[in-house]
Amino acid sequence: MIPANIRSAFGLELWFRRHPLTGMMRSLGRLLLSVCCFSCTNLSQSYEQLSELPPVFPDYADITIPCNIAPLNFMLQMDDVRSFTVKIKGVQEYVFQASSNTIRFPEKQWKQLLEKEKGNTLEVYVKADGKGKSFGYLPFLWTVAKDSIDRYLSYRLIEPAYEVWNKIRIEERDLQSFSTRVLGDNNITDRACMNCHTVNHAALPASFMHLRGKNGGTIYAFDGRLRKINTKTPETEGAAVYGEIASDGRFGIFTTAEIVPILHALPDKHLEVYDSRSNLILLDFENNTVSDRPCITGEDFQETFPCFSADNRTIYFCRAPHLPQPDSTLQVHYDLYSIAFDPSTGELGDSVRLVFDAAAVGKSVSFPKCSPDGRFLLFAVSDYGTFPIWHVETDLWLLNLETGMIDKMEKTNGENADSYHSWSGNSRWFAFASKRDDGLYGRPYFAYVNDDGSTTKAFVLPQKMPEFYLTTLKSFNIPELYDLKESYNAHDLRKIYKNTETENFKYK
Amino acid sequence: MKKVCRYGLPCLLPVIIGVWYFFACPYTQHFKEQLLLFSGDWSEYLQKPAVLSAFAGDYLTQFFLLTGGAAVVFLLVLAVLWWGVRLALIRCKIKNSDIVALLPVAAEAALSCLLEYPLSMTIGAALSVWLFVAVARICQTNVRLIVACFAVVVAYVAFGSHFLLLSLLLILFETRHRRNGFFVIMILVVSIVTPIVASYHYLLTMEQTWLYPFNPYFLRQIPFIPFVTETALLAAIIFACSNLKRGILYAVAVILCVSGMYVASDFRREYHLALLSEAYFGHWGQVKRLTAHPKHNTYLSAYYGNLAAAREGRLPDELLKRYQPAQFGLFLEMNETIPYTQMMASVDALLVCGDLAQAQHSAMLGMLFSPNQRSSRMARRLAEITRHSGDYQASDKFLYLLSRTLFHRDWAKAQSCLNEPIVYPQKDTLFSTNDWHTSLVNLLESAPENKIAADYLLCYDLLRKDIQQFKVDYDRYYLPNFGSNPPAIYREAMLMNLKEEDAAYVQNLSFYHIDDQTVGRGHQFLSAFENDGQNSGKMRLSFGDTYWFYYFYAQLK
Repeated sequence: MIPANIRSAFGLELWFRRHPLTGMMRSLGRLLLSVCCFSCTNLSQSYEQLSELPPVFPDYADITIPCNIAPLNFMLQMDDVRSFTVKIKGVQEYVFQASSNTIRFPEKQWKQLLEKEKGNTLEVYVKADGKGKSFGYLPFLWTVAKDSIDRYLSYRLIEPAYEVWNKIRIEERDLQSFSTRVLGDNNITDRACMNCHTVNHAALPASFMHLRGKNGGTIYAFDGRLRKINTKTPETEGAAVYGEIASDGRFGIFTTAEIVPILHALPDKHLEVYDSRSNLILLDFENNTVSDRPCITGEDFQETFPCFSADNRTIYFCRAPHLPQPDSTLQVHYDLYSIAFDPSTGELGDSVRLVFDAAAVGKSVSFPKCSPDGRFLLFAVSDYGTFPIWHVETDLWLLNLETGMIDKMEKTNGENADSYHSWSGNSRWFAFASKRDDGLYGRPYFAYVNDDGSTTKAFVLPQKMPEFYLTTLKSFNIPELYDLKESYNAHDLRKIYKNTETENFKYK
Repeated sequence: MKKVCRYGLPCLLPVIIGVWYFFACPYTQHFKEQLLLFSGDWSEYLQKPAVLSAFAGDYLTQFFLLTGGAAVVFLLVLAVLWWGVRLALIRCKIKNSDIVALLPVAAEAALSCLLEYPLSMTIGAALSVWLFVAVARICQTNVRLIVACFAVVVAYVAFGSHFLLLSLLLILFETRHRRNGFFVIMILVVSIVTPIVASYHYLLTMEQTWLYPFNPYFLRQIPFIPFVTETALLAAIIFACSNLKRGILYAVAVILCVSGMYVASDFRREYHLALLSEAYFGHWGQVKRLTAHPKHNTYLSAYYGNLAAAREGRLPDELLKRYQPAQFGLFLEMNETIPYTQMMASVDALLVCGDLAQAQHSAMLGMLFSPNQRSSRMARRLAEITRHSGDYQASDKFLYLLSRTLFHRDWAKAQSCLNEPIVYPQKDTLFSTNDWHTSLVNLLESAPENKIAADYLLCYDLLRKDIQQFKVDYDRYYLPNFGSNPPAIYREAMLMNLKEEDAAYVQNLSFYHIDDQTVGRGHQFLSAFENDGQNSGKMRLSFGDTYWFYYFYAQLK
């Protein structure tokens, strides 16, 4: 007889129960089951046990995963693999068979597995069948966290061609499956650059992205309405660039950076990007105004990458003394600062406060992001400058806002740049772009924050075909987590780009 | 004799086409392979229309890398197209179908002489025609109508814009057999609606959706060029109905084919692509031969001529022997407005100088702006560059992609064993794109023995007519390592920097190894310049090979 766990693993139990089978169907079912049996007997056949982990790609060994993530399909990176078997041991035992070097877990069974094993640590055994030889590997672990991750992830797909672009697409991926939706494609918006799709963590979410080009503007989506805004005023230095929207959707804090790309002589450093000047501006989407404060504008300092605290009463940002660039780019260090903010009136404080003196430790801070529960501030740290995605040394550091302690997250950071992070709504997961795989192409990675504030080894966004990351020539930029589906799609964006008048904000 | 005429004459056209591809535009076809990087990943193709023809076209384009591969593949595909059109016309009761079927074939043959016209278009045309042949076999009118409407949609999704051939043939078939107006209207409606819906689904512009997999971006001046084949089919039908003799029909087909191929072939571009391809495969002897007596004096001909000379350490010796468009013949300027072929070429000089940072940047841009954003040529370059700079992870990615192709996998395997980084600057500096002077200086600061970089730096100064900077760079980077026997052009330029009234003049001449002959010739030049300076033709005759002549007379037009 077929063991119950095998039947359940292949989803056959339900199938048997629900479908009154005709004679022919029954025969087919028996055939399938006998194939399963044959597969299962392989498990007990003799094989050479190796004392190493299986060469799985992507690296999914010893990771913590959300209880609602899509199947972690992977492949074995070795020659002559004809098939392999994956046995997952948790409360129950699950067996999956791959007929090539790639395992693609059935989505339905995968969901059931995660549901049953929530909070458990699973042992994953891999046995590979090669030419006349079979190998068993040491098991690796998957800890299924009880905390789920936000359902959607948006990212920009772009070739890592440094300062120019050709084709750009912003996609929204359902993290519970492999389905994606296009939010923007510059093929139908006159090849205009599009960037920074950012969503606030609110019950009624607001989002923005920038669409450049002659009909462009800042696209602001809130409460089912899509607006195109020109945030540049004669009184401020430029249009809004990096920023965040407060949780009520009314206010947004942005930088007006003028971004200049430049090349490094050393080939492994690729590109440097600096701001020739940058200030902070506050946008009021209700009254269509732009405002600022002398302490976050002016010539003496450059301010960038602002974000709101969880209660919206503080704005964190990066600040560095103004130095002539590019001559002094290697000496520019951004520190982490904050300024008070009154979310009811939109009033900014009159002074700024140093939160982390990065220059004192020879570092430079960028992309601070507060966790929605207000416990942590996650930021990227590099040796100098403001744009660390091409700096191999860039890591993410986690500041505990309650204790003031900084965790360098050695378990989570990779060899190459880790940056552009985003929190999940429950503050237990964060996504970030990492170039750890090949140094050139950014990939969306996820890591878990334990109760004690420690973080786990990161894992890459699962794909239907795990080989995808080896063959794609696109970089994943600015991964952004959010729980409610974005309200627009690429056609809405095209319409607003082509047909909608830009709203001009006024300086207050 | 009749049989010879019936079957022999149609065979003459393929011979003409094959000969044309092989001898007149081999590099255009050859380069098509370099513009693709076949991955065999169906999911990529499913994201756009023309799934089947694009997949098959990209797969077969790999064979263009082989000598004569393009001619053979094209002849086979065109033969399939001709056979299909012939059968289709027979089903439509068109006379002389074997001859008139040559017209669409001639159109495809001509269009394929364009660099950006992909093989997948021709395959799409052939498959559309064969789909019609299959649909036309259905006898029951109602069933045929339903299948035909479905087939039009399938043809668009699977074969791309040449689905219109299917629509045209279906309408012709129905007109000739049943005169079923409803059928015709239905086919027309489906043919118009399908691309419109597809443009929404595939996120294509209306222009792209009607022309896919041809990319109209590269031929904006003649956007509807792919419809030439549909027009040729219509013309063929009209010709067939006009009771012209077979001989005349055949002559028309041949004339149209040859003239079409001639018009579509860009011989200047063919010359450029020859330079690019020969350099790509390291056939520098061929590059030297092609640039010795260039068919066209262009930036690219000067660029590759200089590069071939630099590789032999003879850049300064040969600099003034060829056309020089100022410094732009040394390095090709990079920005998003220049042709992608130039971006691809710009990598070569940077690599030879050892400027891996800018070479990688150029290669990335070359890849990015190529028609498919996936180029085997650029993938190979990127694999090399990243390997040389010790960035093995990145290199392995490109090698993996190349290992999935038919004809680059051996190269990829061989490359993966090379783990010796070449010398690159040890000191970092920041500079803008196209700031070659800073880049070369930085290279020489790290590796003073890099003679190619030194020659490029000095020739760059000279071609910009900046002789003060030349002296500074010469003293610092050339004299200490290579200054014992400077080439004539350096001696001449240095002589311009020395003042006769200077007390140390004679010592300086000796210090810079400037011989008496050069000094004497310099005096002759000055005297001739004072007396007859306006007569540039006369000056050229006497001093055309000197730097002095370049300095005073050369102008960039």
